Amino acid sequence: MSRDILTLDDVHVAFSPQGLFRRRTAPVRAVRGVSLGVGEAESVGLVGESGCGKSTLGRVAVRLLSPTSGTVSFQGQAIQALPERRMRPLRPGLQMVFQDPYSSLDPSMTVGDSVAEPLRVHERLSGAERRARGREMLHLVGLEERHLDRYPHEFSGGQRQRVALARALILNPQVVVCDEATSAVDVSTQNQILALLRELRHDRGMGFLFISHNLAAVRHVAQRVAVMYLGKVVETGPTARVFAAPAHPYTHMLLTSAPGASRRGAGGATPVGEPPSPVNPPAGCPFQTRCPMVMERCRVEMPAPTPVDGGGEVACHLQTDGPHLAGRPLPETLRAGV
Amino acid sequence: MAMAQTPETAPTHEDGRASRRDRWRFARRFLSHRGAVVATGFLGLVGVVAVIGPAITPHDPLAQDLGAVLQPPSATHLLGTDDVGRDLFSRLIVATRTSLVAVLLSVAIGAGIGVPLGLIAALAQRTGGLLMRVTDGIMAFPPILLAIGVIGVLGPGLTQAMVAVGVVFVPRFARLTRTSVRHVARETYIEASRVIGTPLRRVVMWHILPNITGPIVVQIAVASGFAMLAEAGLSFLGLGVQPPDSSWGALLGRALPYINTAWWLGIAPGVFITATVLATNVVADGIGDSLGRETRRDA
Amino acid sequence: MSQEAERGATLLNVEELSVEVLTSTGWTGVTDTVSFQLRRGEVMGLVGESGCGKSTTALALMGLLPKASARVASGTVWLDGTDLYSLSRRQWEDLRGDDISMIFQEPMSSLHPAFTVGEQIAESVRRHRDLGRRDAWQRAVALLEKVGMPEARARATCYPHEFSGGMLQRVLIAIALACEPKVLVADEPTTALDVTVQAQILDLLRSMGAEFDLSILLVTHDLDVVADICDEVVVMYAGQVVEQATVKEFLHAPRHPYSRALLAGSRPDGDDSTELHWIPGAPPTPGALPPGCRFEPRCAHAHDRCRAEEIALQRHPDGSAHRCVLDLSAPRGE
Repeated sequence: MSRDILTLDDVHVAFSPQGLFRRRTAPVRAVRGVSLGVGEAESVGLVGESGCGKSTLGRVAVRLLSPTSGTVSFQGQAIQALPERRMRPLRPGLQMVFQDPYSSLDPSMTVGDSVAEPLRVHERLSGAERRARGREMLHLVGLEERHLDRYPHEFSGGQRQRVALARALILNPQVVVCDEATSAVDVSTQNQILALLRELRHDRGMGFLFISHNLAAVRHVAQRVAVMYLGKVVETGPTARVFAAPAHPYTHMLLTSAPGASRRGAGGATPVGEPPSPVNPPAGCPFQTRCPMVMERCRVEMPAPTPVDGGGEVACHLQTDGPHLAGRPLPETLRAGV
Repeated sequence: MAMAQTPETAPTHEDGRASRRDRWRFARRFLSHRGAVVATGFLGLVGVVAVIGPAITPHDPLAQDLGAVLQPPSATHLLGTDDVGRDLFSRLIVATRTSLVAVLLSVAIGAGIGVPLGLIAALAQRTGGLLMRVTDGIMAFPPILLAIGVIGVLGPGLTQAMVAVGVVFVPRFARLTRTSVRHVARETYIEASRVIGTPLRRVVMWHILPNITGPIVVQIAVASGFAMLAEAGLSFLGLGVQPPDSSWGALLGRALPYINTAWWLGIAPGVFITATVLATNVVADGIGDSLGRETRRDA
Repeated sequence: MSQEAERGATLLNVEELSVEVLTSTGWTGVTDTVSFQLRRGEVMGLVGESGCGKSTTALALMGLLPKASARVASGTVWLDGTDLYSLSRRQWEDLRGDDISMIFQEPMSSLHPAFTVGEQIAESVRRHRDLGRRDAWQRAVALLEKVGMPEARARATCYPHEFSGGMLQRVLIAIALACEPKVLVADEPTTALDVTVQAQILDLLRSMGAEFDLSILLVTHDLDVVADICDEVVVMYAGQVVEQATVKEFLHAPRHPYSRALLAGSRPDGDDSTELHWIPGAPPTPGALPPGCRFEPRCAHAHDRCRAEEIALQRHPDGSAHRCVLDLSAPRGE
């Protein structure tokens, strides 16, 4: 893990609903002890359903949020408690792209000014130089110079997302956190963006933390995947291994839930239930309430991450106690249940 | 010009490049509101009269003619004469400036103090809550009563009266600004700015102020209308402008005792007050509509 | 997947439907002579990129276009022999929710926040059926059970904000099915849902379709969803139908270059290959359409003829259709 540029170590985040009359409410435990690293020229996928804490984790990674406990380090420096003034010099290297292309651009700014904002903050350049750099970035994301002086409302969602991407890339960051960056755009735009991310990884050695609920997108762009459920990482591993031989019952459920002809062909495999509330997560394994292979032990004891054949780790008692899943045909119980 | 020039607190670019606001879109939309255009024209006219007023009066507005008091409108005195024989038309023209200056003064105080206060209140969590409780307290007073209280301390006079009205406006501007800023602060582009590392001062200048201009401009127009009425009311009560100067409200007040014998005296000042207030509100509506955000282009 | 032979009679017949919307330059066409037939018991997917007119078409055949900004310029919609556009507003309101109903992407905005979901289901039952309060409530609870709501009796007394998105979508399906309609129009019903919940809702739609002998028109941009649940596909581009085919034909041998490009981009069968495909450029905006084929500027197979003239929709004997001078399914050996 020493070669990682961005490292999160045992990060916990809890939100306490603030306010005069409800200070007593139980905190929302969004992230519960997650460790993750992104290396140079590496793309790490973070998948999970809404409410699993993946977006919170992304915000912690770029220090939009401070973790309740745990450390976040960037280029070997702990940043989780760094004051903004000392954080600022590190910012150019650590950028983020957000999900909503409609609210991520200032409606009163031209696209050119939005894209050039990082330059105005971090580099002393003339207006003409900034414009040239902005033009260069727009070309990179597939837009044209004439778009520089337009306002966001003149653009489609896909084009806005390209602009937001250009803004994140203009300082040539080392790591970019993409929070559902392609979830609100058409497949065509999504694939174009994914191809660009790959290219940047190869050519410039950029690292990506690609947060998404879209398994297909993650599969295209990530080399390693971490699967989150209810604030915890339940499985990590090389993308190929995780998709071909999921070791955690939840990962398996996610993969078999993806719509398509193959799911239709398999027939009668409807996943059960919905994630419980992160306000009061169950003791033991977070997935116990929906797991078709739940055991007595899962209700009391949180399984520890255990290595999996083919790479990565899984936090599941099946891995140590039962017929573990990875690389083997699925046990009958799981087939019937999922 | 009552308000047409007051808005635009938007910062200009440090490198002085062309305005960042989409002025043309705004102008196009605004011009399509016929009522707002007419109202703007009327306010423009009032503004011109305020500036060149003393030069165009047909009579000396202060010259008394005790031989011709309370005259009905005629060819020499277009709107008649008042109780000491002064030409009402001339007095009305001269009073325009007083009324408008009074409005500008109070709105400038209200916005000038209220907007920064609201900004601070929105950005500083702890002090913000405290500031808002104080403004809530001020807002609990009826505005005119509060103004009368301030005059009780400062003494009567137009400037004092309008300072008092300005004080009444402060919490309203502060509250609106705070709400608008908090609304804008929730947008993702503010988060994006934080990730970029843009210092707070610049976030305010680049992103927050330009995006709260809309509601504040509308509030300025609405407040102008209210200030016009408040000036009229206070002067009517004798707490505002002092003789021999006059304002529309003072003219109206002076006409009151003669409502049975010379009813026409109050008509002209009353019509101008009403028309100007109406015009500022119509313009405010027009601005509000024209600044409206683009709707999302969803599937 | 009903038996191929037993394809039912046409239930919903959309004929040459053209819709216009009001823009700054006046009324502009957003759909152009859209025609398709939905058969009894069939699930039809209406697909295309955002802005292609698929949602507009769905709203138009429900009579739900916003009056001030959109209108049906020409065309007819027949539901089981009734010309919908000849109905009075009153008659249409009686029909909606009874014979044809609709569900949307955001279930929350379709429900009233101040009434319990049970009351809202019962209300829609009573709107169309002569039932007492108590009977309607019983029916509401039964419907909630049917759509897979756990503890239906208790949950019927809850308010919309107490439900997750997936559960709300179940509530909406219960309301839509309250009067056993013949046709269900579903506009992106699973787009806002998580993948495991999406699978649940798709399976629910499938089983409800079979149980009620329901025809479903599914508006979606997601070809994986189409592959999962649809029998028939209508592909729209820039307001026109560019291809209609059975889902099998569409997935394996699309005729139109746009269909092929869409499929290459999403690959519903989960291809492992790492190459990424996309369609260059962006769809044209209504009012600024290219002169010939509307897809021509983005088409990999375009030639001069495509620029010269509008391309007519070719109907094939097997019920499929496509709008292109080429037929990409023809040379199989490619």
